Amino acid sequence: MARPQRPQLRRTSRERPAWHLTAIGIVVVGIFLFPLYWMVSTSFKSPDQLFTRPPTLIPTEFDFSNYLRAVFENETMLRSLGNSLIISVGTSVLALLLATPAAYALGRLQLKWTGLLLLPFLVAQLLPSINVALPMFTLFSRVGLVNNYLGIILADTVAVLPFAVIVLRPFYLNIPKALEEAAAVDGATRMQAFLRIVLPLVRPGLVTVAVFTFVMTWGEFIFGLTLTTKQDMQPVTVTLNSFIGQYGTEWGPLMAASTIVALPIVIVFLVFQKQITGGLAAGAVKD
Amino acid sequence: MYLTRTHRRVVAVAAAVAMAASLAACSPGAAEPASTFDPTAPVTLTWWDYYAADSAPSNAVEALLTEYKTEYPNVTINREFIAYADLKKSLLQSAGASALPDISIVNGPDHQQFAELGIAADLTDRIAAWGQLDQYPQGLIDSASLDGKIYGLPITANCLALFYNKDLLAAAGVKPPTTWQEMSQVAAKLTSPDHYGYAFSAINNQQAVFQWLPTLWQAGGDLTKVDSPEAIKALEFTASLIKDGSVSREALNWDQAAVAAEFAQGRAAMMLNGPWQLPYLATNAPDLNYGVALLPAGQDEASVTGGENYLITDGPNADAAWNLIKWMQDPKRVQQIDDAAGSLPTRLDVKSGNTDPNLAVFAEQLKVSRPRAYGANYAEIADNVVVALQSVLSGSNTAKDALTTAATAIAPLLK
Amino acid sequence: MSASFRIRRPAVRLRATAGRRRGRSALSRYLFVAPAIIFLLVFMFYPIAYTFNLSLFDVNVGNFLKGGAAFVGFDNYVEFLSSPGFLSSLLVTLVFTLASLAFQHLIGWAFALFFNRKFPLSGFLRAIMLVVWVMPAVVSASLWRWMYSGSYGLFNSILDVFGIHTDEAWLVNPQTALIAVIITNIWLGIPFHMMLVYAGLQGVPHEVYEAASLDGASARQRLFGITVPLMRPVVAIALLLGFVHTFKVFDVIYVMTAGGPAGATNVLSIAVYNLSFEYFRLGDGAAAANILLVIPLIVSVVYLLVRRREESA
Repeated sequence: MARPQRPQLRRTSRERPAWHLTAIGIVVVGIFLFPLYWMVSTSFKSPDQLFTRPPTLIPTEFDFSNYLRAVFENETMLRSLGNSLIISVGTSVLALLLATPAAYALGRLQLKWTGLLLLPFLVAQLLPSINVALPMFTLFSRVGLVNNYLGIILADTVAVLPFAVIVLRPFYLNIPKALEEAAAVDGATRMQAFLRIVLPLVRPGLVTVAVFTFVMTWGEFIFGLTLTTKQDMQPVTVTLNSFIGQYGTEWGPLMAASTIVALPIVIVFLVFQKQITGGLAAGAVKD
Repeated sequence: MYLTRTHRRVVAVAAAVAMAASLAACSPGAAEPASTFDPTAPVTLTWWDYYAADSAPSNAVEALLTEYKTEYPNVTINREFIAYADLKKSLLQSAGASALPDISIVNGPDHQQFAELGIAADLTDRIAAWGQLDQYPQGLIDSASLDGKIYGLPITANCLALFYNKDLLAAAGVKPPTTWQEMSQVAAKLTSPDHYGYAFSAINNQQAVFQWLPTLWQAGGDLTKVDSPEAIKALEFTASLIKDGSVSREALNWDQAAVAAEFAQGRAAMMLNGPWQLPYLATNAPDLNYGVALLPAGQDEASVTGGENYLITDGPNADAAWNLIKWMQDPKRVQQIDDAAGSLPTRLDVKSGNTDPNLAVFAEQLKVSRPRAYGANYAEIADNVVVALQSVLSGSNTAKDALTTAATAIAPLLK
Repeated sequence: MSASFRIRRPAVRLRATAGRRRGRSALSRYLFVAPAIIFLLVFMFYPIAYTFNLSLFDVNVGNFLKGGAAFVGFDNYVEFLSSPGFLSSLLVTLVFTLASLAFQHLIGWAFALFFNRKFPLSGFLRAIMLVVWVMPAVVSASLWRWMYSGSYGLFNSILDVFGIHTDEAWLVNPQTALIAVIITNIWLGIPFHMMLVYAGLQGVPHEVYEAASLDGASARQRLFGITVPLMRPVVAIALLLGFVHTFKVFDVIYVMTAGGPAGATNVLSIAVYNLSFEYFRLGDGAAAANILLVIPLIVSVVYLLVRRREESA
């Protein structure tokens, strides 16, 4: 019998590797990512290199002054970078503390109300941040949480917590129940079983959630805009936006600032690339 | 069942908000000058302004506050910088937290909104007792007034006038325009492949309205009836300058700082701007040979006033704050601040220490300048005007249609 | 060795004590999810309730602090819904959302199909595309503002290459601003859709394709006859998530155009922001915010209902 023809959708790796596809891929992805290159290259250009037409693709000389002006000698910007770091780490920690047990409960434990309890997390994903911003503003004003790291951390956690729970839940689903039952037999309480057996097994999920929440919070804008009224408390996204007003026609410094704001995310992304792609697909598709 | 719980909670919340709100603010006009005010009693005053650290106005303010503290050692002053874009939010937030500053420097057109908000102290009686109100141009006082009561005093004042590049005008053989017709002609003559004839700001925020109001008033129109034939004529005139190519279409992207940059770099032969650009030009274009002229007249002569006011918060420290502000109104001290800020003198008995002859032109222009005093909803009114401006200047709408739409939106906002 | 014994025995033991365990530990089970739920109740549902309450009163700059706002029932809603600003804002939001979504998804499909083939570096290339998705919106928005700028922006320089010479400042012209912002948003959304579709494609069993090939189906028939129908759930969720996220977008537009010029990009979320934080018309802002929430909510409910009907069918 003749061998069934392999479906064209997958090239067998036994044939020659499809380098022509690789070439196409590089070109297409290169075009797609070109704006990012443009941002970085602009950041190194001096004004005379910027205001030319046609523009210079590769800066002829690397001018660092944009970076000095917009970032390294700019106290506001440096302070904002620090603020964003504190806020992002704080939010990740808080989100993990809340989401880890919650996803466990919703994923593993037979709760009578699982469906109903999942609902707030799903609804929260629908909620526009702007709806929450004003009430939070008035509420936080009265208790002194405006211009306060804790205030923004609480607000940002609202934004990321539902996502964290939804992404984390499938990781728990993958753990065989037998392990917990074995622990129960040994006399472990639910909490002990959770902490000593289940938790280490979902560590990849925890890393994914931590990375996700860090990235999402670093880029958060609305709560930063509405819940900080003083410049020295603002996260870096709000500062960058105010730069546009100041540096509007000075694209060099603006691109330098943008690059620095993007840099931590790119680094985190490159290091935790697998977790990000895995977590997102799992969370969204396994709905 | 869940809903009922929420409903009860909501009512409780509403009550709490109402209670907190009534505790947070006193009603305006209730404070009378306390005859028991003791200027030597210890007090701490908080002061907010948006003068960047180490800028000339900031240093002038610091120097004066230090002087005040030597005269009144019982007074502690905490001065804080709040960026202009954050000021509204900051005042709102601190009002909700009952932590308002005692004194803030606010932008003129926002003053009435803050007065309406209930956070500004009514100074009418105190000013009457002080008796120096007649030393202030009416336009400046109007921006700090609401419903016949005065809620502040000016700290800086400016207006818009016409900057022109003397070399470029001489080369084209023209003089600064004095009428609208001359403006169209001169701007056209000054346009060449290297530079535009004229530049102004039509950016997507209040600055565009600030820049357009002189034209509107020169035509005999006003924001109270922005679809009048005069207003339409004004907008069509402005649009014609762009249509003729005398003004770059990038104007819709420029704020006043960007306009100044265009003028400084010789890419525009004339520009509409204010006296705060004089220090900027001195630093960034010291060799530029330029002058300032009065704005061309339409049916009337007109310009617009800008500037900032002192706002005192209604509260227990109001008298101490008023004492400080009153002290700052000494003509010598007023001159100190105004010179540092590139401002026109806010008092009629103050002569600017700045000998720049261009400043004298602004002072002359101030005589026919009007304030933006349209009530507490000015921000929203201005946004509607910006929409009309931008749609007409970009050629996507006619002046008549755009202004009719704007007028309908603005009508309920005027009080 | 002894561990395996341990694991086999519990099945018997547990059944005997199951009933007792379940009752006793019900509380401890709920305790796990309690912190998160309480947190959301306080910081999410309370604000929603507050906003709803606020929308029923005529709260504005004159009485926000002083109190005494009049109860007006649904007047704010009626006022907002019948204002010309609402209709144009809704239209802008819908055009923005649907246009972005359509192209994001289609182009995402194209990329997903492409990466579904085996070739060297495909994993790496696919992964780096996601950088765009994780980038803070403010960064992307400022970058594209620069690219769209009039005289020296990249966009116009690229058009030069195609022989179109223009100085148009795309974000500043009311007729082009919305399209420009949509293009940016499409760029931002492609990786997300590509990733969902790609993950979904991995779930399509190869045997189905092999069987189809045996029957002589062409690549095109395989795509539309097998892949697309099997991928319907993934497409549905991608479109739903995409719709919900795009409908409430704020950052990108606020940074690029702040709703201008002349209201051309004034999406609902920006209208809400202006009403509340700029004009202090808080009752109206709250009503607008609730309307902003309701529309994606309806779409989600429709999606859930349709899915439930499909699953039971």
